[in-house]
Amino acid sequence: MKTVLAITIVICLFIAICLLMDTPPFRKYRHILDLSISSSNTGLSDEIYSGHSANQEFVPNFDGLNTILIPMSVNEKAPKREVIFRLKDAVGSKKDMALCKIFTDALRKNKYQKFCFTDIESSRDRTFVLMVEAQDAEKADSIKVYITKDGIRSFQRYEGNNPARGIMQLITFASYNGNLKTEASNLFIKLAKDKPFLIVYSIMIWGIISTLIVLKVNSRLGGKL
Amino acid sequence: MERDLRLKLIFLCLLGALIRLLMMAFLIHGDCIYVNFSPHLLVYHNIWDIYEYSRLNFASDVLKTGQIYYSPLLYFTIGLSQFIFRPLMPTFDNWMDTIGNLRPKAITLGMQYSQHFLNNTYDIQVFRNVFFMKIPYFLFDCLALLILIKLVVGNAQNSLKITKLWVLNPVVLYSLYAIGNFDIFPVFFIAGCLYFVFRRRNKTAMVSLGLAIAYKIFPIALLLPCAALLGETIRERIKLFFIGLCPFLSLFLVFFISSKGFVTYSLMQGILVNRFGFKAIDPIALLKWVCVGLIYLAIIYRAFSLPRSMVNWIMVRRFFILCISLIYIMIPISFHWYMWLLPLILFEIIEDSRLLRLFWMQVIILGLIWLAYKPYSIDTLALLGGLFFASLPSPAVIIDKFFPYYYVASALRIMFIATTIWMSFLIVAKIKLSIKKT
Repeated sequence: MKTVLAITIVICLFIAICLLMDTPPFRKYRHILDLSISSSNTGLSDEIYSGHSANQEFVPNFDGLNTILIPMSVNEKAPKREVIFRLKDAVGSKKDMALCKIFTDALRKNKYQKFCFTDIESSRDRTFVLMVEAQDAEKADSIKVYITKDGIRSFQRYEGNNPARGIMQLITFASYNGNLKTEASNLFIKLAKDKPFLIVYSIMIWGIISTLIVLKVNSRLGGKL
Repeated sequence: MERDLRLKLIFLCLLGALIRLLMMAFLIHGDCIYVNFSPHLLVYHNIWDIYEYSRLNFASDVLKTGQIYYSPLLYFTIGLSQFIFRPLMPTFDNWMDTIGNLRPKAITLGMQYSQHFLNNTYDIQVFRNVFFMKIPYFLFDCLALLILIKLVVGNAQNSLKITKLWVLNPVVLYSLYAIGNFDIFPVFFIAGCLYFVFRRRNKTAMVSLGLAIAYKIFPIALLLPCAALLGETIRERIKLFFIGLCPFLSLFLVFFISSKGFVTYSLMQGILVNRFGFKAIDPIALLKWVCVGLIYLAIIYRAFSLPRSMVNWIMVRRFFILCISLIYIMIPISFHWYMWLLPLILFEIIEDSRLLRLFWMQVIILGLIWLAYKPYSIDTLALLGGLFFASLPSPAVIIDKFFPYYYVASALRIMFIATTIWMSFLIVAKIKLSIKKT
């Protein structure tokens, strides 16, 4: 009985957490991890300095793109420089879809730098280019972004405006706009689509549950059943 | 009284079956897809050598590491299960092919969470397919329980205890039905080895251990102590050692000779490099290896010098616990790897409350380390709630906002090692006590 009670408590607690996370105050903490391009110790990097930006093309899988993380290396002894992150729809495009400026002293050494912007609603399957610039940085104290060894052709990397090999390491996130109610109804719709399995599975589950109830009642009655 | 105990046993087994059946259809993890993807090529596309297939079809470095597969025996076991249930899974081939098309992109872009596979593929019978993917685990899970019950002779209360500890064990439930990893196969054969030692059939016991090695490499650590314990003369010990090595070696050699891809695309190589730190000669890793190697040699020596009259399945079990504990101390283990110890330690903890406390402490520590990460916890719910669960922050992310989770995980890992050492000392004390008694 204790075991059944413990399982019930765990399930109830789980449902309560889900319901809580579905409320508006907690929605802001929810993001969908989309692309996670990383590869440790490749030894490959691209440098960012005046006149040389690092540009990476990518295609998100989800709508609501709102965050990009990029691992960067900064020379701490170098003077304070401004780093600009631009999100464009093509390398040559003049219009910025999102822009973020940050000074090198605010960058954490060899850590992921966060580039946040307002949700891009229809980002799924759309091509974007992330450009990282540092207009006033010298080549000697350039800022580094990391490159993976392998790439796939559809995600082109550019050094300046020239196509280059590999992919810039980055992680992208999208916002989540659904809710628990819709997801639950979708689950039932998906289950109902495979009726033969649902019927057999339900019979199996209810058969076991009924037997368990009968056994429990029987033991309570001292084996009289 | 006996009838009452039997009813309790049936109740427990049914409760365990209910939990398992519920988890089988609704939880999925990338590991389960990974284990099942390659054998589907055998059943539906007639590819007998998956390693050579990977070598010829995937050239780049990143894809190479993403395409490696486990042992050949696992490939054929999962393939056999898919072949048997093929008529009941008509959409499985299509679903796996879609995943196959997605995999190169997924591997390159780090989209290896189950949410990505499920979100980018559509299968009308997804619950059925996921359910049948875990059927071989369920079968071996039940068989392992049967062996454990058979090993508890003459004590109905202990049978009940061991059943309860197995069927409701969070490690078993999580490893097999949430993560969908295949650790139950070697675990079952280790339990089988103990059973045959108990029945005094030493050669069959060694074959059983050999089959465990053929599924996953870790039981190789048990081979030498087992042969040393069971053999009477040096010649017999060598014979038993080679009998144990046979199932693994025969499959290994067949593939090693015939398949160019086997060397690169079997997971053994990756494990040796990544988990054991063979990438470069690192002095700390080397020191660690020397220390563990010396302790391992001491265990083998003790097994070798033990009088034959003292060797029984309980003694073998205790030596096995010591060897697996050494592995746990040596490498950072995943939560589902704790399953390796289960068929051995459960017999100890039903008799010793100190070990029971240590056992739960270890389960909680490993749970705290691993379940804090999204791919090992929330991601398994991808089938239930689409993107709802994918968007939830993981405990590690929440903790990280206040304190680097890396330090928390490291502290927990040290605690795990400490409890493992403590557990090993208690087992050594038990071995000494039984020698003294005899």
